[in-house]
Amino acid sequence: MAKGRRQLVDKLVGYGVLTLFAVSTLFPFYIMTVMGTHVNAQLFLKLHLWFGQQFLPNLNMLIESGYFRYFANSLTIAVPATILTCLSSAMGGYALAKFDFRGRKFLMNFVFFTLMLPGSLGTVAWVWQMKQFNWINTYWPFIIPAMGNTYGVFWLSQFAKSAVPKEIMESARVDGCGELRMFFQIVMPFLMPAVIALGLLAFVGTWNNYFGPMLILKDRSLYTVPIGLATMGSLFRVEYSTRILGMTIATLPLLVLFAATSKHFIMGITGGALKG
Amino acid sequence: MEGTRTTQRKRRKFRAAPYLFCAPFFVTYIVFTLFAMGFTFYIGLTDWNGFGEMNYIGFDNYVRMFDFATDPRLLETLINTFLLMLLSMPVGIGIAVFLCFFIQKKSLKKKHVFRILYYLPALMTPVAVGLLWSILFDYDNGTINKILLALGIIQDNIYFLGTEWGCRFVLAFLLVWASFGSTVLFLSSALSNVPDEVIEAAYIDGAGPVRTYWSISLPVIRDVIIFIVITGMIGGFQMYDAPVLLFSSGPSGGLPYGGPNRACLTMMMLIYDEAFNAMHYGYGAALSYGMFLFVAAFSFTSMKLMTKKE
Repeated sequence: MAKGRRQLVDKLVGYGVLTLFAVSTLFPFYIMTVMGTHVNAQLFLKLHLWFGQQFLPNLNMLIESGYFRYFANSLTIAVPATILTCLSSAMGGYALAKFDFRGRKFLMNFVFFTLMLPGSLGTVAWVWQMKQFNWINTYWPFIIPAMGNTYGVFWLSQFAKSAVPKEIMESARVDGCGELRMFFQIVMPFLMPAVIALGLLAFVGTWNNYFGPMLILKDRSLYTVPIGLATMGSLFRVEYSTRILGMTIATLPLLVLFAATSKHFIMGITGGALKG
Repeated sequence: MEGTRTTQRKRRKFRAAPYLFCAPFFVTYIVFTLFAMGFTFYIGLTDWNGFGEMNYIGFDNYVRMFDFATDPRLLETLINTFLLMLLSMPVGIGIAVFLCFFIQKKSLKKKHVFRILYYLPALMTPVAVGLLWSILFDYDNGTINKILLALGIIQDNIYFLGTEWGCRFVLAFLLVWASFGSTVLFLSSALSNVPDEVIEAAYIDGAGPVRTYWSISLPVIRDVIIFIVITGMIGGFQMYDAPVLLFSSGPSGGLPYGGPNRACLTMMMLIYDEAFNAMHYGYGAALSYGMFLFVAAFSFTSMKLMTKKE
């Protein structure tokens, strides 16, 4: 009886601590959402802890400011970039893990070494290069180079090693299966958990990218969500409450995506290390 | 003998395929990322201003950035990053270790929900995070000041972002909030790999739950800490979006780039400012390699320490 009671107390303390931290973590999100529903003139006059009546007017102003254009632009970049990252990483990882070919060891070491290079090292020359390609003010700089994702290839090669059974590949080969069909129909399904996880990470990374688009995109009609949010106040004099609503809406797709696929997501973040 | 011959024949038969499969990654990586890294080093050897000719001037830029008497900013960014990590990492890791004590308990269910909730801040667009925190910690209008006033903890508003240490604390707080969730993920995944027998053995030896957690998790925690410190430091050097937005446009008005006395200036912010604002592409490129030098030196020593202990 005493033991059962102790366990109950243990449980309550455990859930209590975990919930307390969860509530504190979510508090800034909550404040942000609440502030987006108040009228700008009263936003900073007092502390707002509950939702206001101004959600629709604020949303209307957000639409008028062209915010959803940024939204569509971000999707136009993030969707193809994500698909290409997944494809090139899966193909490269599969080749490195499952083929025995000349130079394989060198390429593996190459991937492992470049994994340690900080991605922003080449920024200055990258901007010069994009000018030479005539890619300033286009979306290509964020779509094509996305295929060169070192983390993706490294991780997919590690994953493919154990996830794709050799026997199935061999029997398919005996049946005269071609290389392309082998990859898309037989190997790809085994790689899918890792590919989805990588795709989610790639999507979030592209969606949140501010630094690159800021250097490349000069026309306001091409802006993505992060540049839109950053320039709304200083350049285009959009009110704070509207801007805060924009921040909430910018975060929404990522939260929904994460909540819906958290298992895959966590695998992507921890490189598949997480079991439970 | 027979075996090697068949594998050789097999190898010959499928020769083109692996190269073609590898090509998209390697070609784009070399053409874009690797080339840009190499060419950045070359630009660092010139006086290029972004438009005109690239005139070769030797190693002037690379020498100048380490002349801290004339330009102390590279040293400042290094110190800033160290201070920021010193302020944020012990807290973030401490919280994660504390929470994982409860997360690894077998008696609690639905724990993955908490892990997901803790990770949400890491997903939020860094631009939006910087903006949000500039509003929360604003001088005249900030939510934090309003809450502290309402609770009677302070009498006058605190100018969080207006002082060197104040803005360091705000940015460190932002980092803790945004990153402790990923430490929880890595730590709990490492802890779940500890065999149950080890834990049961500790119980049978009469160790309490706290004692058991501490002794089984310490070795695991050490590895995770090394990993978190290395990646956190590298991320700290390259951090840009959140610190820029934090000072750019709070309701009480903008603050200097990098905060008061450049207390929150990061290496990436310095590179951007030199190359793309001041149009000193050559010097900005050299600074990129200054950053690389610190990243490499830091990763190298941390890994050395890690392999030594094992």
